[in-house]
Order: sequence, then structure tokens, then C-alpha cells
Amino acid sequence: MSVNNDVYDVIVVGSGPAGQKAAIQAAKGGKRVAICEQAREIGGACVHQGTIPSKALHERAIERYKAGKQFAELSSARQRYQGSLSELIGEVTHIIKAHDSYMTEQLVRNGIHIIHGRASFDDPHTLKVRHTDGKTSTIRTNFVVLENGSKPRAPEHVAIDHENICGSDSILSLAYLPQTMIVLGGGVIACEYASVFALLGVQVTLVDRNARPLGFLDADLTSRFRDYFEQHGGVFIGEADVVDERFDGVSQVESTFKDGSILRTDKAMCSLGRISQVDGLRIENSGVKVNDRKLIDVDANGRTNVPHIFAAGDVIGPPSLASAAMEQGRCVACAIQGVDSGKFSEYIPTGIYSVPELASVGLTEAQAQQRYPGAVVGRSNFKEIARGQIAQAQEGMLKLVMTPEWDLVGIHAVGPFASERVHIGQMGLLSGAKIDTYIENVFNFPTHAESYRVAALDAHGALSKATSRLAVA
Amino acid sequence: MSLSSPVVATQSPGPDVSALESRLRTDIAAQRLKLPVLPNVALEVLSSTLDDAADAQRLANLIQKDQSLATHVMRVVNSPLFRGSMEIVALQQAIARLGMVRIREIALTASLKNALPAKCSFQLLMDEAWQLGFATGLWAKEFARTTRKNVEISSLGGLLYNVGSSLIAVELSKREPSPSLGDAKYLMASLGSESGAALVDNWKLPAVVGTCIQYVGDFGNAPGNKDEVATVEAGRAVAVAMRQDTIDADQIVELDAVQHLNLYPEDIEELLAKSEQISNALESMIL
Repeated sequence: MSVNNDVYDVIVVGSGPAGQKAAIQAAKGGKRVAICEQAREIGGACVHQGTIPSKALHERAIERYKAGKQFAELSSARQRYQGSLSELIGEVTHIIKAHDSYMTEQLVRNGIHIIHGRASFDDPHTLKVRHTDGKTSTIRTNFVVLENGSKPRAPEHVAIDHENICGSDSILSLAYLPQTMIVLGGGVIACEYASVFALLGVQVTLVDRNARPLGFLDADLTSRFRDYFEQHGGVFIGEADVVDERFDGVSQVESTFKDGSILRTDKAMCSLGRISQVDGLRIENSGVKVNDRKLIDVDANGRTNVPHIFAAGDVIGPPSLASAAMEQGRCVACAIQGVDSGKFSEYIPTGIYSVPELASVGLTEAQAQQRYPGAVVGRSNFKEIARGQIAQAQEGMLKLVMTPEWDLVGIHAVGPFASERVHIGQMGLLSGAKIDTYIENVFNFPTHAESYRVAALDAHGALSKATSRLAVA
Repeated sequence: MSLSSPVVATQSPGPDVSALESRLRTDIAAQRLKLPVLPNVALEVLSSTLDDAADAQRLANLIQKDQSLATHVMRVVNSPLFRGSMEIVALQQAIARLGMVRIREIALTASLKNALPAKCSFQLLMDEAWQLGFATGLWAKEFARTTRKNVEISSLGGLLYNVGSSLIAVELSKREPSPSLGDAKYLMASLGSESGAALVDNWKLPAVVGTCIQYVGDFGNAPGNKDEVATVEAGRAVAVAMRQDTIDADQIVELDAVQHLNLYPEDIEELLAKSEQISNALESMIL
């Protein structure tokens, strides 16, 4: 049954980071905008199952770990977190609610109509919205922005039941911390949860097909991650294939490896990638093409093969970062309004809220050496930085990568505030700064930022040595 | 019968029933109701539900402590539905066949039932209430799976949400003259959550289960755990409909609890496809 028949300038399907920014930017440009969201709250998986909850849990886990460590030092008590997971998650729930509330206010303040329901195409300009009560409404629009997001991939060989074997969307529903857990995958989500659970005292086994976790990062970062993870009782099994994983029907999850060995754990988490959510959109009625990987191909402005339909966020594929999605959303809205959105930078920072925190922007050491033969790196270890000592963050590190011409081309950070610290270097990268910028300028003391100066001096030293060697040769 | 009010009187209460209701309500508020003592075994089984150290051997040991409980569990696991071609002779074997979660549910319910007097004039109503609790727990579990809420808590909340109504049945069986079956049914529904709330502290039930007992049917007013209470409330609605053989997806979709859980008609259809599986599980557990 149709309950309304509204016409909009822009309809945004999905209220994740890209959807919100697209809707707000279009509304600020005077467009009549509606945002259609199937979930009860605004924000998409980023707010409710991904980015925000895992980061909030990360913060709480570190706080509890530090408190537990201090208590253990005083009383020799064991350090395993003694509270329930629901206590930690309860706090996370408040954060999510607050986030939902201010995002909703922001949309409403900009005059954006929020429609709660599942949208599907009737034709390229008409969407049918199915509501939870079974009623439907029809809305027409001049432009569509598809921001349906993604969901965890559920491989056939893993019997996810959201009770014993969870996905990244159900792992936070656990009522208590298990003694043992296996995490399948070596990507961002897998490593974030694996390291947080290990810090809380769970015996975590992280299994990935690749030789090292987070293989896309600079090797220094992944080795520091792995060292810290293993120091906290975690086990990483690389180049391994779990071919079958299921609850044994009694009390344990059985993970069978390709070589026939079996690992038994209390719980499991499967984090073997995410897939875009185009199912249910009846996208064939829109004319938009979906590629073999079930992603929507777009041009530099986010435009699909159908000129008035745009797409942004996880539904168009990598980098699948909330930060990049926000910018994609803004660019799409600019394109709709015929406004130049500026140049979308190739340098997108990556922040990984594992323990320790990791962040990166620009080229890795290996990439730089390939592109700029003779490239060198400079490191600053936090144990040699006053602020690092004060913060008891000796595991921290900053690594700068530069060309033989002193151009900064990569920044890689480990430890507290890594995802914040990397932005100092990012600005230098974007403005074409030479490494001596970080040597010739003064930083506050004691700060984490001081590590830039130390790493720059180290890089300078490395380059001088390399130059001397060349001169001798 | 309304899906959201599974146990209601078939007629309006007469003045005598209203007076009895009022007296009982006062007794509950003044903590004058005699609360049954929960056997240690049940307490331990209950705490093992949300315990990270729970294992099959420990559960088997717990159940073995209570002979009648062990007998009950063995009877269930040797029912035609579960026993397969081989008789189950040991608890460990039973756990291996049915899994810890199922055995724990059977053990918990049996020990809770044992905590209440065996001879009660309203045994039939009590049995109905237990069966409804079983079914609610099973459906709540499936709702939780779909909405990515905690499956174990939802199951426990469903299993125990109406434990208070059995307590009222026991209390009514002591009264002279004994109320009619219809009146007893009315009073169990009307006072169940209040008397159940009295058990929460006494039996040291998890706080979230206490909230389910108090607010199922009124999840909107729950001070916390609204999602969990709504999950149990939705589970109860389907359990009631299943018992009456009147499962209607359209009706279920319109329930406030289902709307709160943000479930779409297609989600409900997917859930209801599990009816046969749940019906079989229920049949086995209420032997």
C-alpha cells in the first residue's frame, strides 16, 4: 500500500558516513533532500557495528588494562579483565546513542527528510520504500545517491550462528569474555578485535592466509603489532587456511585447518572481508551496472553509468574507510550541484584502532624504495621520547619515509594517538614539505609530536650515511 | 486472544477475585509471599550460563549432584527425537549429543520446577506457563540471532520471564476457598511480573533477566535493556501464536516489540520458517 508520493531533488539511500555528508552538502546547496535508512538509527554499520563501537571498545579496554595493571602491581593479582563484556559494551552503547542523536539533529537541522525503510528501484527515478510494518511508500527524485554500505562476508565454510561463531556485526553481543577465541582474518577489523580481546585477557588465536597480519601496511608497523599482540598472549598463525569452522554442538568451536589439524576454542569471530549491500535494491530497474565483485563502478565524481545516479562509500569498494567515504559523499553532492569539489587527494590516511594503535599515510618503505631508488627512512622510538616515557607508551614509534631528494613520501605511526599523530606528517606530505621542515622547526616539549623531529634527524643521518657510502664507492 | 497478552482471563474478574488480587499485591509488595528456595544446583546451573569458565564436565558434575534432575535430563535425552540409534547412558554423552546449552536449559527448568511444590491445584496452569517459557526462550533466541543481540541472555530471559506466574499458582493453591481455574489464570497473568520481580533478588537472577520478568509486555517502560526485553516480548508473541496454531506473520510484524527491533516482514518470514525446528525442540524439552 502506498502511503505517500513525494518528489525530491536528491534521495540518498543509506545514512552511513558518505550518505550523511552527501545529504548535508546537497541540502546546504538548496536541494530538497531525503535520506532513506533501513536501520532504526542513523549512521550505518560505521556507527552501529564497525568504526565507532570497535574504537570505543578499544579505548575502554586500554583504560581497564591500565587500571588492572596498576592494581596487579599493587596486589600481585592477575591482570585479566574481571568485569563482564556487557559492562564495557554498555558504555559503548551510550556513545553510539549520543552519536546517533547528534547526527540525526544535524540532518534535521539541514532540512533533510529522514525516511525509515528499505528502498528499492521501481525505475531509475522512482524508489519504493518498504517499512517495517509492511506498508510501502513511493518517492520520486531527480538524483539518487547509493550509499548502501556493506555487510560482513559469510563464507560457506564458516557456520556463523551469532552465538558461538560471530561476525563482526555480532561480536559485541557476547555477554561475557570467553577464555579462548579464534579470529579468522588478518585485516583491519580482525586485528582490531583480536588485539583488544587479547588485552582483556582472552587467549586469542589470529589466523590468516597471508604471512603477516595487516599485510598492506609498512612492515615495521605489522611487526610491532604482532610483537605486542604476542606479548599479550595472542598467537598469530600466518599462511594458514581454515577450511571448516563450526560449533561442535557441545561447548566448543572447532576450526579445521587445511592440514587436518583442529583448534578448539570457546568462541570464534569470522572477519573475512565485507561485501556490498546491493541485494534487495532491485538495481536492475535502475540501469546501474554492478561489477563481478558486486560493487558499483563510478567515475571520479562518484557517477555511475546512469548519469543521475551516484554511489559512494563501501558500495563502490576500497578504500572502504569512513573518512574517505565522507569525502566521497561531499564530492558526489558537489557533482550533483555542478560545483567543483576540488582534487580528491591520493593520500588517504589509514587509522587502525588495534592495540597498539597504528596509522599510516603515503608510501611504505618498500613502495618508496621501488619508486624512488635510494629512499631512506628515519625512526623515532617512543622509549626515547620524554612524552612516550610519561605516557608509558614505549611500544610507540614514528617512521618517516623520504626520497633521496629529501621529499617526505610516507608517515607511519604506532602507539597512542597514532591516528592523530599521522596527520602532522600528512599536512607536510600534501604541501610537498622536505624532511628538513621537521628539523628546522620547534615542537612543544614534551609531546608526541617531538617524535617527528627525532625521526627526521634519524632520516637525515641515514641519508648522509648513504651519500657518504656512495661518495666512497 | 491477543498475541501480546498470552495469559488473560476469559471473563472479567468478579469482586472476590479483585479483592484477592489486591491482597496478593499487597503481600508481594510487603514481601510476605513465601518464596521457594532455589536449590543450589539450580543456582549453580544458572550462574554457569553466563560463565566464561563453564565446561561440559563441570555441567555434568553439577547435574549429577541432584538425582531427580539427572533422571529428568536422561529421560529427555532418551526421547525418540534425540536418542538416535543408541541409548544415552551418561550425562557427558547427553551433553555431547544435545550440547551444553540445551542440557543447561533442560536442567535449569527442571530444577526451577522442582523448587516449587509438586502438588499444586493449578498444576496444569503451571505446566502451561513453563511450556510457554520454554517456547518463548527458543523464539527469543532466534529473534536475538536475527537482530544480532546476545543469544544466551535472550534465551534465559525468555525461559524465566513468567516464573512469577507459577509462584502465584502455588500461592493460590494454598487459599481457601480455592479460586476457579479462570480466576487463577487471570491472577497469574495479572500478578506474575510482580511476584517474579520478588524472585529476582532472592534467586540472584542476572539483572537483565529481572528486567525481562518485570517488563515483558511493557518493554517501552523498561529502565534499561529495552532491546533484550523487546526480544523476549517478540519471542513470547510467536510462542503464544504457535501454541494456538495461529501464527500470522502480518500480525507479528505489527507488534510494538517487533517494530522496536526494526524487523521487516521478510525478516519475520525468515524467522517463522524455523517453526518446525522450534516445535521439535519444544516437544523434546517438555517431556
